[in-house]
Amino acid sequence: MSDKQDFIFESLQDTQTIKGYLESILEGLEKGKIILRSNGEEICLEPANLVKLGIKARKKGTTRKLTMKLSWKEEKGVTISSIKQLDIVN
Amino acid sequence: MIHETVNLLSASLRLFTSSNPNDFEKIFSKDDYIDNLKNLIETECFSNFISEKALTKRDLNDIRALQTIAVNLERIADQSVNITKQLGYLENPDFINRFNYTQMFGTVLEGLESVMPIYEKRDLQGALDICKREPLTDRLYKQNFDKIMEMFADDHPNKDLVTTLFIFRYLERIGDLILNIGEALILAIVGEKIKIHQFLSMQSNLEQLGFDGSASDIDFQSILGSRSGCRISRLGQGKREVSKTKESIFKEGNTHKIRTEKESLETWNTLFPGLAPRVFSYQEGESTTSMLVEFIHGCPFDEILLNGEDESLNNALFVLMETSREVWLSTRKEEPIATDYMKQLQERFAHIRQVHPEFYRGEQDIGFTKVLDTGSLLQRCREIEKELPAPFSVRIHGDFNVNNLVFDPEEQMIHYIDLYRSRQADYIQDISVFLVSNFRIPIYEKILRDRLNQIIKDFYVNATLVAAEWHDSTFDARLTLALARSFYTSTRFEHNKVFAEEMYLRAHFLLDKLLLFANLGRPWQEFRMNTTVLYY
Repeated sequence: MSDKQDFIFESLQDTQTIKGYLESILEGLEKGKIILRSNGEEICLEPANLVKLGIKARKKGTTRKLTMKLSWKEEKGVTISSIKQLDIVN
Repeated sequence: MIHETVNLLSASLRLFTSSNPNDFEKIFSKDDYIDNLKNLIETECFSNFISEKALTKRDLNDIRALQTIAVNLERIADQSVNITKQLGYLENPDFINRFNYTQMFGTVLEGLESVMPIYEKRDLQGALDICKREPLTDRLYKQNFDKIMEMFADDHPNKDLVTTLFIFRYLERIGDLILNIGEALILAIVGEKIKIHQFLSMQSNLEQLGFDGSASDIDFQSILGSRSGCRISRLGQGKREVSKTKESIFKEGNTHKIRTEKESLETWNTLFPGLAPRVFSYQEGESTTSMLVEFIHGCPFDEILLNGEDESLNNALFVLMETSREVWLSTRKEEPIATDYMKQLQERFAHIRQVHPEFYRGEQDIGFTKVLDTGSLLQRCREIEKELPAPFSVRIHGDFNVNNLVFDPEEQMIHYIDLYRSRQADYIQDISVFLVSNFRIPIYEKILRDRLNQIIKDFYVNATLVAAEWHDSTFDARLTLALARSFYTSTRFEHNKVFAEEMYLRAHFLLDKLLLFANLGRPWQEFRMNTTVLYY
């Protein structure tokens, strides 16, 4: 059985609301636990001490894209890697 | 191919009176030959599409008609073979002669023999005559069927009765196929795919108007699609000169829908003569109803939007805004009226999910931030909507879509068409439908998109001015609900996933914002809609 779990959330937001979402994630980062639920299925991410941070920005035509990627390895007996990707497209 | 099919059918007929084994053989091999001919014709028809020769609309109609005729001839041959096989099962070959089959054969054979001359002469009356052979074969079938049933009841049932029933059933099916051929001929002749029953009700509408010409005096031209479920054709000058006012549109469909539209058109014409088409004639049938309404001269608004000069577009938009404002002003009734945007959305939900099953947001948590699932969101917003009745009502178009508006530059007039949803309601219903009908035009080229955005902006600003003038303090909140409804329901017409998703996400954004505001418990007068959702 695959140990792969995915969580996807896509929406259109104004910056004020985006701030709210980011704060939720920030709080999780501080507490060392980010919980994401979708239709009752839960993904719990526990960011390690060392987290890889990637920030990418792009301008193409009228499209703007800012990608922020946090990735790390969680080691609890078995190695599980999780990637959380946040795309903010205007 | 027609000749071969006639021969095959005639050979089947001969077997009813004289059983010649050679005839059986001949029939089966002829059927194979007819199959080949059909394939050849189909190949020939479709090869036109890969040739470099440009095809005219008439060429296309001819190709469609010829292909349909070939397919149906091949099926007639198959049914003849079936009849022949059934003859072989008769225990008493003479038994079939107790029934009247010659008239049925005669009806279909004469029909088949007239196909080529009718096609060559473009003889519309002839094509209609072919179509009328179908109800005739049905009647003859019924007579034989009744006779068979009587014989069953006579207490000496005979196995041959079952075989006989099959034979007549196959003959009746040949009548249906003849009808398909007749309708294909109508397509080739008038350039319009039209069913015979529509044609006949159109003729009787014309007779009601005192039109005494023959079918070929009518000129058909398709001007609109049939998204609303009504077949629409324009009856025009044809071979004789008919004044402009005689030009009309034939509408046929569900009785309730057509009757509602008729009543609505009459009301509009009393209120604003000339704004909506006049009803020339109306005929209620058992299951369907038809009417002839005035053909409105001018240019459909969406055509000006996409192809017109900037100046004509601005002019048309100005007249549209003035007209709608005047309509709202003079039909305004002061009593508050409940709106039902969320209900309209929920009612169309199954259809939306059929086209886009994935356009449903599940319940989600992102850390401490909770995201409501679509179903609950709509239900909550439906509750909110109850708190937000429109402060007054006006007579709305009901489907204030860019393609339901016609601009006449000579008269400097906007006309409303397709008014079967017209009623006394919140003016925001028309505003949101108009705004989203511009937004959802699947055009991404920057120049045209800028144009659409500009129209949206101008119309929106004009609407806000009216709202301010009339002290409509919950305008933003109601517009949010109405827009969410229009965006979400429009996705069912859009198969470009990326573009459809834009509308789906906008609908959620609007409703999320509304719900968030409702949770604050602040007065609705303070709610402001984020207008960027209007533009793409």
